[in-house]
Amino acid sequence: MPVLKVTLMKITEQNQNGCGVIRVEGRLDTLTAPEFDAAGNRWISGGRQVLDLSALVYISSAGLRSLLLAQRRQSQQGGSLVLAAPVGLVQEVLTVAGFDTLFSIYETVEEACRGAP
Amino acid sequence: MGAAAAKIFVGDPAIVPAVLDFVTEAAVAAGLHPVRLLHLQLAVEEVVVNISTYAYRVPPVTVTVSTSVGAGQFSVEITDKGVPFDPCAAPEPDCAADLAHRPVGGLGILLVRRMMDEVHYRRDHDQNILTMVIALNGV
Repeated sequence: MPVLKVTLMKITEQNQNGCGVIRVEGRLDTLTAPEFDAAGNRWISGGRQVLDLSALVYISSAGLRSLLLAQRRQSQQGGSLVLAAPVGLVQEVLTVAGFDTLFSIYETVEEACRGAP
Repeated sequence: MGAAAAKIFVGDPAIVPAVLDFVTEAAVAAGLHPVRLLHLQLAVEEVVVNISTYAYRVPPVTVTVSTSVGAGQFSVEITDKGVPFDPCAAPEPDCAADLAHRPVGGLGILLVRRMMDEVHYRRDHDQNILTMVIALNGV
């Protein structure tokens, strides 16, 4: 059962028709959170950024902390971070932590870019 | 209790993957549902990170992890010799505070409590012993 043995994360930043989308895949946990924080130096801009969570399978409190800090940094620069397509455990954890009051959460990346369902 | 296994881990938060591998292997062998396996991994990560970060004033950090199966339940017992800390008694963070006031700490323990079916703490022979239980049947 090696599928869950890897502790890996992949971040891809792209511009989808003028919408800044950061796709984070894999696991956002104690070991990968520092890499996520460091990547923020590239994309945290004060604009509106969409975090595509559709391929994120796991998040722990370390990952929640990273999301919170990224949102604070965005906010300090007059921007915002919105979340798109959380599934499974990630959706569950965001709800338990009450992060739906800190982030706009959309079902798809397209809706998140549009800013409306 | 049926099948049981125990292992000692020494180090800092870098031991988390090894602990997760150890627990995952036992949980999969016991037939834990994949959805609940993620709950279990999350809880174990949070506990081990807490111990690695706060429990020991002087290194090395030593964490003993044991698993057991019985009565339709999978149990993980995590033992450390650090300062006394009862996660079951810790106050829950304010999950309604605004962005500026939202605490970054305390969420880990909250997740442990929500994701596990049972969490028990005891202090015995200068050790913190945390037992987490998850049902084997269904999601």
